[in-house]
Amino acid sequence: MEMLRILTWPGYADADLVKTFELRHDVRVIVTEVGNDEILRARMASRQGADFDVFAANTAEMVHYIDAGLVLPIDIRSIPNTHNQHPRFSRLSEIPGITRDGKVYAIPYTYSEMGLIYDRRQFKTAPTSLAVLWDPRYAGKVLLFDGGAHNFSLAALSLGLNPFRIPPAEVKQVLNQLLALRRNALGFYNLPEEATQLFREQSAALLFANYGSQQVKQLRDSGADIGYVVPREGALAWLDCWAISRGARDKTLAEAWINYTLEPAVSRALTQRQGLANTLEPSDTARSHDRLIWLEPVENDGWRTQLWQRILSGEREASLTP
Amino acid sequence: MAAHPFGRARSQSYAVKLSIRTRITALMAALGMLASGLTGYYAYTSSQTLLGEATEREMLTSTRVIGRSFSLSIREAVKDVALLTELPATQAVADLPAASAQAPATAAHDRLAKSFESMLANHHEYFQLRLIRADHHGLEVVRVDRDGATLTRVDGAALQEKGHFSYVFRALKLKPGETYLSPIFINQELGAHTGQDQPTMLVAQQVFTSDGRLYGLVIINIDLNGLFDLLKADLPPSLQLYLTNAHGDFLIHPDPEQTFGFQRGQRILAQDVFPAVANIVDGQAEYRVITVNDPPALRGYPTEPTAAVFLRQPLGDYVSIDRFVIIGLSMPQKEITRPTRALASATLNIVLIFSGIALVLALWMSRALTYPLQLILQAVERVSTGHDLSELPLNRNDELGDLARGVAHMHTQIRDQMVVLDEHRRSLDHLARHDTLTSLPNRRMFFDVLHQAISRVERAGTQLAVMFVDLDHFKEVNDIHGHATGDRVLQAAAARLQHCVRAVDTLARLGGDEFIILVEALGTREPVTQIAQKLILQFETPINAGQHVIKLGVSIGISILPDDGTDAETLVAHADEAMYAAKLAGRNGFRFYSSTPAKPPDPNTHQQGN
Repeated sequence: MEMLRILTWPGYADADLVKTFELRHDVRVIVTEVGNDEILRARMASRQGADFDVFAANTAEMVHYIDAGLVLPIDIRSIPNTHNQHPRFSRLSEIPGITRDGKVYAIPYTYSEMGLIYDRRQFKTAPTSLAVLWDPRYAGKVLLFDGGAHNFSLAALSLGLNPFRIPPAEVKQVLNQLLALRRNALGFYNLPEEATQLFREQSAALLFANYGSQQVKQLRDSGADIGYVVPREGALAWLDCWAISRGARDKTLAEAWINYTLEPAVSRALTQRQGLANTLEPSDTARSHDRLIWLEPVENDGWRTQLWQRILSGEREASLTP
Repeated sequence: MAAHPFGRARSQSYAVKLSIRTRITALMAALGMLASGLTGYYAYTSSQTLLGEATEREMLTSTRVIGRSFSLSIREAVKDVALLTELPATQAVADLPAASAQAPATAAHDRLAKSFESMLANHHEYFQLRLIRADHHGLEVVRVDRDGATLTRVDGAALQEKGHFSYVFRALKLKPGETYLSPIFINQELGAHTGQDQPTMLVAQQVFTSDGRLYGLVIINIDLNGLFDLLKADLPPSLQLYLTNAHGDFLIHPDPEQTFGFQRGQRILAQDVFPAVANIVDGQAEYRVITVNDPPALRGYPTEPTAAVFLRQPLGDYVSIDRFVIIGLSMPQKEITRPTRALASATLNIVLIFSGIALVLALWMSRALTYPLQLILQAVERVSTGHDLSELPLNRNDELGDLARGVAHMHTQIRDQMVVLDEHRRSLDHLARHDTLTSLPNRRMFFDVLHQAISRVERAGTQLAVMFVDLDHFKEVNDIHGHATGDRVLQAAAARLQHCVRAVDTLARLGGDEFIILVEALGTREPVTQIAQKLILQFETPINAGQHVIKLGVSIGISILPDDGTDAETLVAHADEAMYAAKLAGRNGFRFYSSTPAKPPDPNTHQQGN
């Protein structure tokens, strides 16, 4: 019997949905789940992708796979369900990192944007700009994520710069912006639970929702009276896409799988079960006109992380030089 | 073919004997082994259980000791932070005019740094001592770090702003007199010298200016590595130490990779490996004894069945998100039962020795039981082959003695009855071969003797004679004087005949008044003629039969082997014929068959004697 080998994230290929696909195509499906990008890279690299037919990765990671030649171009006509996708996702050329030289390498499947959560009791009207994070009125009431790459992007975005490519000339400005962000912050969190606890306990006013809708749900479940907004500068967002491995044994079957996941029933299951937005219908959090900035590889991940650690440690302008 | 009458029985008896002995041996030995084996097994398992329980109690005690020592260390740190807060040097810095906050260090700062240094020099369990301002984003004012073997004072531009750390913004919200205790975490703040990337716990108290305003915080970073090492130091190597925070996140784990997962965006929880820890986390239990028989594969440890004790250790009456830690000790079950291995081998030895003894005893006992039986059997076999009884264990006082005596008694009885039977058989035999009236051999015996004599004579090439003797007129005796008289006459006649023959010759009664004589070893007919004449002469004398005196004659016919025939029947028949010829010739005479004509003979020509 023919076999389809899927490398993906928990919740992207539930057993019952896989079963339906197996029966429909009379094939056997083997699902391998990964928990982070590093492991996914290692799995794909181990035998030049020969171990898997189809896999899921975000747009920033996809650039790496295209660079490494580990993915095959996809014939969009063989995935007719792309017609059902929200226009935001069907205009593939507008999504950075998944097309190259006119060829499509990945099909968007699910996404999550990092908007702002605010305490309705402290905001008469919803904040509209990222600038609110720097607003001294909310000094010591802003909760941020402890992540170098994202915070640099956030600072660049607030300054009207390309969040993923900070020109050397603007670095000093961005660093000062980050220092200002730190000084305005209550604190920096790692886990969503931690954020929820601090938000409630410390009566925070604003929260950068690194985990997106998941945090909105968690805070609402905890009884917080919160709103959620994508600022006008746009919200960073990760977008996970399906791609076909260079080692795929049956490209048609891999495309059939991608097409299957874009069926309303399957895509809705992702939303209902995992709370993740699907690409067919608008999400609860991001409105259609909201600007979503799909993640791209940053100019220098290590540099950002290292500098961020210094900022987080409490260094001041005097010692902080790029 | 003459099979030995006991042949079959003997082999059977051996089989029975062997099997009884084997069976007794096997049964006794099995019973002995079973008894010692069961005793050994029970002793082994119960000691294993006892040992397991004792180990669990010991582990629980050890976790309590570790927990208490952990709490005590924290209490000491709290005392030290209180001491530092109240130092005049601290107060002096707090009371400096506001303008000097960003200014270079003053003498007051230096004095406080000296105090910090002396405290750190005396307390190796601290990484860092700091005075932090409540304003200026939590800027450090005085800070001394442990830096390897030395102490480093961090000053000037290197001082950092810590206001965004929870230990600062939480401690700044303390009420007067309270102490803040941070959760245990890996200190990832850069520039922390020795303390960087090490597990730590922060103790903080507020510092107030002389006029009662909140100035900032004195913070001690406790070196938990040192503390953990201290906790581990007294543990035997087979024991594994665990420490988790109040949520179950591992802080100490045999595999360092499993610790502080929450700081890498990943929760590694004790309750995933030791499910009962959940009861401690949610406050249902103070401690749990946990047996992990089937370690979950997800964490890679424990890799083998393990027993563990987890205990909630309250940290004291301080302000903290985590009011307690959970301390755990685990030990592989094979380590717990290791001492029972020596016991097992000792038990096994005892079982083996006792089994051996049981086997020897069983052999001895079965022999003691079957040896007398064997003696009796041999005795019975000897009797059956015609021998006398051999030695029997007659003196035993048990059932075997009874059996032997029974066999001996039975043997005596059988022997006596055999004697009687023999007598009977002999008399029956005599009856079958002799005439009851005259006690002379009967016809059957005579023919047996004759047959044997013929073969002897034929081999020797000699002659023999058969003399057919018939009493003349005996019928009248019977008719006139009755049968009783006839019988007496016959007895007397037999006696007279007996008198006339030689010891080697055979006289028999054929029936009625007919007698027959076998005369052996003849060279000539002369002795036969003499015997015949002697017989006739004998009967000259009348026979006294009670009141009757009876005169009888005899007619005698004689046949000679080989002239008159070569077989017994012919010889007798020819002797008979000759006897008739003699009768016809006038009775009371004798006649040889060979002299008898084919026709009825002429008595004159053939009569011999008178």
